[in-house]
Amino acid sequence: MEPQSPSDRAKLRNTESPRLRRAWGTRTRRRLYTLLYLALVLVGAVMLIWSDLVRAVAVPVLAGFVAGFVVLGLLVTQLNRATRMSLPHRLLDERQRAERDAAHRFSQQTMGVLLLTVLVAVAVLTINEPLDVEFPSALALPLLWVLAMVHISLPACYLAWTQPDEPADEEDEGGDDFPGQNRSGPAQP
Amino acid sequence: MPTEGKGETVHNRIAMLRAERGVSRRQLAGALGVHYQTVGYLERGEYSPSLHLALRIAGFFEVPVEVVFSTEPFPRIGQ
Repeated sequence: MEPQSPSDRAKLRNTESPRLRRAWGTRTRRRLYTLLYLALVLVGAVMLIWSDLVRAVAVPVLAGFVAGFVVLGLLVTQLNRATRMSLPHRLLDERQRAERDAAHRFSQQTMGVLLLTVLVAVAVLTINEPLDVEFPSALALPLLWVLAMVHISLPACYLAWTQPDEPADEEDEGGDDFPGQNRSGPAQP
Repeated sequence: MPTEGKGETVHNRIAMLRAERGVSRRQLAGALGVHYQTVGYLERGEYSPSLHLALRIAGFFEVPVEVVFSTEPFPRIGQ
């Protein structure tokens, strides 16, 4: 947890700044940003489908897609900072590591289910061709887009969704710091 | 405060010891090398520490580990 290098100290300062923690302290806000992120991913998928169907306006759609991608990048960066996913493992304490491990476990299992579902669905449509239904090729890129975005951001989304409201800093509260008592404390281990 | 999980309950007296010694959460967290919120989680019984952290907490307060942690509820003061 103790930062060793100037780079680590900068990362920790950046992520643990009181202003940022206040801004991202509430679960409601983190959930709103998570929903906004997922909505944008779906909008991106729809735009990809649309650009494939209406090839005449492909360039404006692509421009919109790039702009949306930038917004998504900013959102992911903020979610990573809010959930401390932006910090390397070595800068977390054991509780934070356990939380991150749980998020990765959840993401790995969810992605496994998603990928298997897609695999089975595509296999059924392309190999067996029931009722003469073919897998629409226009869906391939949007499907890959959604899977890639979910894979990249699911741990941060999971943490943003499940972490409780962060308690206010006790020094801000002023009620739990025992200001009138001896602050020296016992010898440190 | 108890920590419950899979039928295991660990009670601790971190908040009481901290109040008694006049140590803030930040001071304790700094000495232990953990985030100050983790101290809050420990005190509220929402997180059960590793043996290593438990021993370091006991070492910080200079008491045996069983003074800080117990599988049985600690008696209330005055009982």
